[in-house]
Amino acid sequence: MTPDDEQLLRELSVAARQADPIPDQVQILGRASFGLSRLDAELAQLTSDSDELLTGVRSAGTDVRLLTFEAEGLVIEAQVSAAGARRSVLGQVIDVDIAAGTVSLETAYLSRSDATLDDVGAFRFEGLAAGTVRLVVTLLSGRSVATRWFRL
Amino acid sequence: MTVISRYGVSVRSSEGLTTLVARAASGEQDAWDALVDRFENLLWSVGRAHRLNTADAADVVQTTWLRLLENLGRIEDPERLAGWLVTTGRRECLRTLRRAGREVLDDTALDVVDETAPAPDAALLERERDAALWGFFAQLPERCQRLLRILVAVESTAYAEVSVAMGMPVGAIGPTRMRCLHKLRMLASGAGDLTEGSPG
Repeated sequence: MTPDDEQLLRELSVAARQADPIPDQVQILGRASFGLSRLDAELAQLTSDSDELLTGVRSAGTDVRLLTFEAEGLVIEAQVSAAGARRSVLGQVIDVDIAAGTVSLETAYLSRSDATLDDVGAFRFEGLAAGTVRLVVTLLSGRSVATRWFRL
Repeated sequence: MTVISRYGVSVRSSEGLTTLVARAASGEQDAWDALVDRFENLLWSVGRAHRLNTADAADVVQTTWLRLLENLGRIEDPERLAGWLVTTGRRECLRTLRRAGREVLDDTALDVVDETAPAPDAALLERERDAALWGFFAQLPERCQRLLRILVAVESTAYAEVSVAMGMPVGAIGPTRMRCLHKLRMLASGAGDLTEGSPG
């Protein structure tokens, strides 16, 4: 690259930062996200997503998305429904042992809701805003499994 | 520690990316902060290069950090983290655009700076030059804006990996960059030469 080009790129870099800087809140949130690292939790991979399977086929008015996450010996099913701007998640944890424990729904903006798994491992979250979330299941055994982040 | 140069691009810190990623993966907040320092402006630029509005671009940055967090222990080549982040961020951008079924929105991405705020003489001159340059940048073809917006947010050693991550064939990067900068220079010279140093 010529010195002139380097110089122009540097000037453009300054101009970009002045005209359109990354907002402070975005910077703060990025650092605070580290609190969401779950070094102790296993990662449940997304193995099925009706949105990927049915793109273009889904008819209007049936705004329901089915997601399946899997970790070793454990499946987390989640059904996401949309009603206007609100989302709800109806789910079930299917474990080789009886799934007893709790589940948290964590959002990209660091808020969290908790629920208890019922006797068949089912759970429900309602009145949620659209956005990026994940589910973190903590079984009575102490085992902890987090889904990948997904979009509500 | 990351050092921010006069031009705002993070210059290589004494600690390598491999070490930073490993330390962050083992739970050290200061290593994570150093990674965010180093790449947040790049991620913001990826969102803006896709013409996302402020809320959507913010969402892309945040989602990309979360993806990095969940993959910290699985990054194959931490030295090429810039490329990984741009690939991941770009994927989120395309998802956002698809979800909204739209291509372009909100021109605030390309708005020039607020010209009402008074500033000391030297700073004012500089700001005016920057604002003018930004105005010319906004007149460049989309493809040029997209490439240059990313390049100005990253160290030159990462140019190739971030350009490829933006979908540009590796052989086209150098020539395209040159052509785009040439166009920018032509635009600028048409209205007075902005590439001269500031007075004094």
